[in-house]
Amino acid sequence: MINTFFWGSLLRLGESLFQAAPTILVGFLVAAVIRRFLGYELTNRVFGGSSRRGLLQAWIIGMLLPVCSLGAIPVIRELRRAGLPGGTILAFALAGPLFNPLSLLYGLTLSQPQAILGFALCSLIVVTFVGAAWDRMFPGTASPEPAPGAVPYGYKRLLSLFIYVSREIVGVSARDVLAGLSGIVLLALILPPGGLQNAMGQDNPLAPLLMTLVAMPAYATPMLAMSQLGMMFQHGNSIGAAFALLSFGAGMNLGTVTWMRRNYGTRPSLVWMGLLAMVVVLLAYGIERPLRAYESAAADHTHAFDIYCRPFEFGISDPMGAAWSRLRQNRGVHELYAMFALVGFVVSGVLLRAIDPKNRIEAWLETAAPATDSLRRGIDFVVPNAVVGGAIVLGIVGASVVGCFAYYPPPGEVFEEMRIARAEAMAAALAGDRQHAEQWIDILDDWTRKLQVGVYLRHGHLSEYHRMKAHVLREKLEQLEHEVAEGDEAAIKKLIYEIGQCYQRMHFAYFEDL
Amino acid sequence: MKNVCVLLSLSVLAALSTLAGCSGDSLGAAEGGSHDAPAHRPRGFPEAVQAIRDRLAEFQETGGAANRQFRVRQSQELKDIMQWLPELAAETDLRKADWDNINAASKRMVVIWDETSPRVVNGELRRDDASLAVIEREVDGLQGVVKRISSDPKLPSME
Repeated sequence: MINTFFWGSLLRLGESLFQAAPTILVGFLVAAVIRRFLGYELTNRVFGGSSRRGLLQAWIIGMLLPVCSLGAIPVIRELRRAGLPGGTILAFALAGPLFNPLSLLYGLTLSQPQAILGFALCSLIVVTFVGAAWDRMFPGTASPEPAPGAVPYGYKRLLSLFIYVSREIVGVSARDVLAGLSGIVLLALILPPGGLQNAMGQDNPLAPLLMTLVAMPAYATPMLAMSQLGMMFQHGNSIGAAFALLSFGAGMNLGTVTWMRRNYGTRPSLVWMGLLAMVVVLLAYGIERPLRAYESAAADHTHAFDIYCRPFEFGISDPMGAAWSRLRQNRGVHELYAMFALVGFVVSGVLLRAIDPKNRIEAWLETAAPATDSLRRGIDFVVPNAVVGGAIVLGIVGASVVGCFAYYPPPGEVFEEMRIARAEAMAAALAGDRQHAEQWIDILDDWTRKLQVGVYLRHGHLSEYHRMKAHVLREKLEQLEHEVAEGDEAAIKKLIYEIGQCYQRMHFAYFEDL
Repeated sequence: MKNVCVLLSLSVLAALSTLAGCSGDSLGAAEGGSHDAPAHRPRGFPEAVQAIRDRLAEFQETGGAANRQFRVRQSQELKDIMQWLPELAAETDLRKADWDNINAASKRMVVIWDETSPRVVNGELRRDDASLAVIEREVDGLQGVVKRISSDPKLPSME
């Protein structure tokens, strides 16, 4: 039993860490750009300083940057150092992780565009109301720090980014990131496998409230939250619960809370949490009926929240092997590379701490000749730090938009991946290997969604016919997952045949009838 | 204030365990959540078209069951079948153009049925109700698709 708890929790921690690795990396990079390139004065201007429009600007910038709630932590640390008021910082902390180009595209294709845009509007209401109220209740929370010394252009400028990320990644922000991930472990210890499958139905009046409680300690990347939203729409779950999930699951985590408590104290943090919970729950109940029209007929359960529950049942023979196998199977290539980069920064951060505990490297970087902003030598002129910084941030946003084309490949590539996943899933189902079958069924399911988004991205629209073809296949896959769990051989064989038919029809639809 | 935080955290955890369930019983319930189709869901698209025709005829003949609650259920079941048409049609080899027609017909029928069902539920449906005639015409169109495909050897047969 202890083994099941231990390896189950470790698996959830590992899954979250892999999913978060790219956006955590982006968060540290953006924080480095703010500190070393943009500077605190320009950052203040970009975020609207202490003016009221700061809340709106923070929301807009948050919407554009591809960070998750863990990746937002180093950014808000720099925003606080830059002297921005608490309301603006918290508005960014909450809005930043909600959407990014990848997840927005996913949401617009697989959920209902009206509902997703409605959620975006509601998030604006949340951040402006909570931010303004909090600033009014706790004025003067801005606490500017002296700006760091200028770093000269050239390799030193780049080195300063590397040094900053290395130090921060093993510094105070790392503690908050780990605190954020601890929520996932906590939930995996409390919730039994599939423990939330029947809890979020649209006929359950407590669904938004229950989701708020679950999502507060939970951590979800924007993509995960959006895929959960898609499943909730598909299964006709509570729309209010979906909004609570987006606001709390994606928008914040326990790390955000520990960061707030350290910077603003316990009482202001509790007030902010209370205000946020109140506004989100009110809006969740408010949108339940108006947005229900956009979702599918209700199903009796959903697997959207299985990720928050313990992954294994008691009595599993080899929880360590199962955890390792699932972790290897579920991680994406981009997540693996981001993890390598994170580990590299952690190693260099630890080395820096050991070799240079007094920050002599930074002093050397800063005391050298200051950067020249307008030294012109024909076309070989020095690009000011702010311009380079702006270009990096815009580059990150641009890369996340262009990255959509790689993340959602064209149908030809998707079907090649699906062919492999289908063969693995069907063979495992026939052999009665539940664990292997579930893994590959999930992968196949995921590819059907990427297929839809990829087509939408390239053609500008996706017909109801094509949506339905993918939906029908997913429904059959879900049925197969249940039959494999129950071990009904006859039903499994029948479903495998039906899935083959659905797959062929979907293939035909996406190639011949597009 | 520290105590308040601890108390708040503990109450959240307690609420979570209570609502989501920590015991083996709740696990059983969660595992038991099935994806079984409702009893009135037809096997396939042709059966769905026939089921709509049969149920409409029954409403016309008898005005539905005598019991009001039963009429409410019958009415809802008919609407379900109308709404399932696009999904059931997608489980056949029908091409996009035909499927689009079926999808549009399904939506039209649901709109009309939403207007008609209160009369059915209240037992006020007349044999010559105009709405029923409109739905019947839609069903005739769908029946045409079923017949055309099954009689045309060049087209793939339906599952």
